Amino acid sequence: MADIKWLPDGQETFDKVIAAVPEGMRAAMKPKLIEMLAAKAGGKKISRKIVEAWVKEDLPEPQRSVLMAALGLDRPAAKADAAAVKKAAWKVKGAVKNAADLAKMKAAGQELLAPKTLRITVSSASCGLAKGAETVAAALQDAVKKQKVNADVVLVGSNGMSWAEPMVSVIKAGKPCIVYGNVTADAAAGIVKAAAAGKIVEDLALMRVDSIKVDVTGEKIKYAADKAPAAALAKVKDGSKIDFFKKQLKIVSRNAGIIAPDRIEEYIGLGGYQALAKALGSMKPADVIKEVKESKLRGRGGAGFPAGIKWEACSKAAGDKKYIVCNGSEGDPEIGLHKSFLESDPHMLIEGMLLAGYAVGADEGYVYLNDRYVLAVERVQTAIEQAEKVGLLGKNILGSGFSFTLKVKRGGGAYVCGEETALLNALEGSFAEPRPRPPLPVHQGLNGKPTVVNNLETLSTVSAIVLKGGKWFAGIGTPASKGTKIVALSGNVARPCWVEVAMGTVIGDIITAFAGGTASGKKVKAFQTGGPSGGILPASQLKLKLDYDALGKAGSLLGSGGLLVMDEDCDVVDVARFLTEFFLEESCGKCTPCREGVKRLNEIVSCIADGRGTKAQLALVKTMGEAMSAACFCALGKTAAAPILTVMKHFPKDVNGKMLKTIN
Amino acid sequence: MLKLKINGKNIKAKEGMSVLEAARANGIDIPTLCSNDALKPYGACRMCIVEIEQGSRTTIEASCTYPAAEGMAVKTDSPRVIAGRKLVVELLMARCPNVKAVQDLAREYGIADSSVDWGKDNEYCILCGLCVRACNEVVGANAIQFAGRGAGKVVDSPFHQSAEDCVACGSCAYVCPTGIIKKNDLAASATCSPEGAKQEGPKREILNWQVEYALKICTKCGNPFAPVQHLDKLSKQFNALPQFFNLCPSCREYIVIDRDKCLGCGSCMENCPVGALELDDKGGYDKHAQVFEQNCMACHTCQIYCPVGAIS
Repeated sequence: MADIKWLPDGQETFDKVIAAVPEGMRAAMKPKLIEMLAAKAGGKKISRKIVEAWVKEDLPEPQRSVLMAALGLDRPAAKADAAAVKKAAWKVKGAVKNAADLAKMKAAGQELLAPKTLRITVSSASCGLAKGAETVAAALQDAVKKQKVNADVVLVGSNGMSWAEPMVSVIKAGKPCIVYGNVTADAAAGIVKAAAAGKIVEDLALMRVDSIKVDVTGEKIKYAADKAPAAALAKVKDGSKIDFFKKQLKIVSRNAGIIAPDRIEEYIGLGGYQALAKALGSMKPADVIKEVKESKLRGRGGAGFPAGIKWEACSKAAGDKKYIVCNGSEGDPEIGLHKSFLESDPHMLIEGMLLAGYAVGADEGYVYLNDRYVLAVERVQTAIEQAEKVGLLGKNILGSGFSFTLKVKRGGGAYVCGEETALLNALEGSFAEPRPRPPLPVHQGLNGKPTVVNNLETLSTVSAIVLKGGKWFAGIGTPASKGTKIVALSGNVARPCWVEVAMGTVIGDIITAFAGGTASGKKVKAFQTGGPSGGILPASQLKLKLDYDALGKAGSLLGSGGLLVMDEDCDVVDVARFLTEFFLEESCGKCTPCREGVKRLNEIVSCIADGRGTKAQLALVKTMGEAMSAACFCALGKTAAAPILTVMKHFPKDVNGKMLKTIN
Repeated sequence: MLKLKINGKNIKAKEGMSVLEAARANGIDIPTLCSNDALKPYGACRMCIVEIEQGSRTTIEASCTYPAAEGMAVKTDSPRVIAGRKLVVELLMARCPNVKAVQDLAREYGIADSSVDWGKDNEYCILCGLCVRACNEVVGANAIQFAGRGAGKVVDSPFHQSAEDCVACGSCAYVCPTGIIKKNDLAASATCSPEGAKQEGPKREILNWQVEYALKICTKCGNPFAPVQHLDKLSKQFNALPQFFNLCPSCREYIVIDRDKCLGCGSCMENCPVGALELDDKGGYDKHAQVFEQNCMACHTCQIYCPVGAIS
């Protein structure tokens, strides 16, 4: 044993191995392990690499995995540093103590958005990052450095065109903003070179943007002079004239993809916190509630309860302490629109929560976010820190005497947390199980105090309403549903994206105009709105309008705005099985009919989907669905049978094909 | 007083009553599985659902959690309600076919067996949560809790280990409608090891929570009566004298005050841990202590403090 030579790092690693061995066996095992290690090294000096290779290759399970964990080998190696973006934390300068400060910061923000030099933005919400926005940004930074160009490379959010990610926009003083799509790291140097020279890389150019809206009031930042564009420019489509943007009505998501989510100045530059200044400066809390009531804004989470009525009830409820809670749980399996939105414009939510707090008299708020949305959590956290730093959160906001604190609370992403009482339980640290109501959360919510729980899209809409008035908002949409709705298109679509459209837009139009039909080019067979709880509707219903009541009547719901498209080859019964399985996983298990009912429903639906269905089973599903909708505690159980029931109603042929064939 | 209608019958209910309480106070039966008067309503078993008509809205609600309100019309046996209840019973029959409480309900609702299209389990726990809530709300021990969620939900001790905070009071076993919580009082026990069996005194075990505690033996009658841990918790809770729990409830001697000796000085009242003594003041020298036996714990603290030995 004397001839074993150790390198210091080898010795260190081996010590870790020994420490992972149970204490009682340590003394006995040590010589044996050294012997094995010496055999592996074969006379060489023992280094870290040899020890790791020995653990990885020679040891039997389960010792291998235990030691792998002890040495940290089970985690994937950290990414090479070269690809990481050099992201210096943005430092906010100055404070906002009154309206004059806000105007000053607005000017500073506009300076950042349309600088005299060059601004290059990379859309890096989750959809962009998944397609390599980070490497593109790093390559752009590299190119800027090498070519000695004075440019600001900024990470912004997503503008909804998920299919064209990663997108790069180039903003040069006096020129229109050019948006490039599907950019790779190799193209970065070319883009920087062309940008510096004021030229365009024509192959990649998606569109040009001549001006951006500052806020809903109509103010604009102009990028280019009004004269006729140069020859190269004329080939690039005008962004405001292509269908994708022309058919949208951007109110909530108006800043998404333009501003950097981690720079509060840019949000303020586009008219941010003006609604707050207006409310605190010239409106009483009751006036804010009046505007929201007048706007007929309904909850965007699924149930569609009027937000103004909720706020009024909470403001009238007796209590020394009140809370505002933002429901950002979004546990639906196929959509991530709130995630994309938060990653792009977190300050819009903060402003909405401040307005809600002012309206109902609350001084504390919680943003409950799905923990799977790592980036969104990070960006909201940064946004809150910045708002605190400049004084837009905390005590005596804008010198009005109104105080408000905001915290991010990360949840496990349970679907049932969409139910506001379950969310409150989770927020208090208890089981995510719904509470009986009454008492309603507006009377006894978080910690037994009056609480407004609103979806994050609802809260984000408020600033526009306060700024431009409830009447203006009520003028958009259908009689029952006002305003706009963010819709995420997924499933079998040619171009997955998320868009904001006015309520009352026909669903078929949304699919063709924005998503470009199905990816396979075949006809749409079915679609589903509102996440798993919504029904699966046939193509004949594509003329339905985006409206709470119209969708409700059709047996589906608007929900949180998911739109899942299925083409002719899709096995809808199998989709119903997937969704029933989802409910089986997501049922909280509190009430008997949901816990046991979904379990049995899943057995039956799996049986049918496997092609072993019987008539008796179909009848049973029907009675179960009816009884569950009556008996279950919350909406999760009440709607758990909706997917299979709507499939049975609208696609009898598919279901019949799944019946057990017997030989008579 | 609130006026409402249940099954067409005009009834009156007190403010703050639930629909279930209002119905039961008026002799209308609504079946329940997870309800207990000592516990907060939970609304999980969904057996007590009723149809409530309020204004223009008709909804199905759990009567145990829904507050009674002026002018509401309640139906306890509408077709939708019965369909919902039948589903609950049928589902419970599939889960727990061998539990008597479930079998009784199934008979009442005319369900011979659960559907053939379902799988069958042989669980015993119906997850009504009575044990968990009794432990947390009434006993205050917080020894057991639900674990898992959805179909995998169970009642368990923390991390499926021996429940450290359990005092083996047996409340969980008492409230359990299925009898699956196994609480055994052993007159004598022995721990076996290679060195031989070691005889130990009487013990109480609750198998579900993996606890086993020695029982205290009454110093007077010599019978075991309650787990030591439980008595320790109680004596802390009531701030009682250490010797208080030496006697079993049947051997406990309640105090008697000799009115001829009592001066009415009040020192016994000041020191009573539960406030069972009060001054019977008729003016002048006619002042005596009097005891309320329903409150007295027979701890005899007052006996120590009485300066004239009037308490025995």
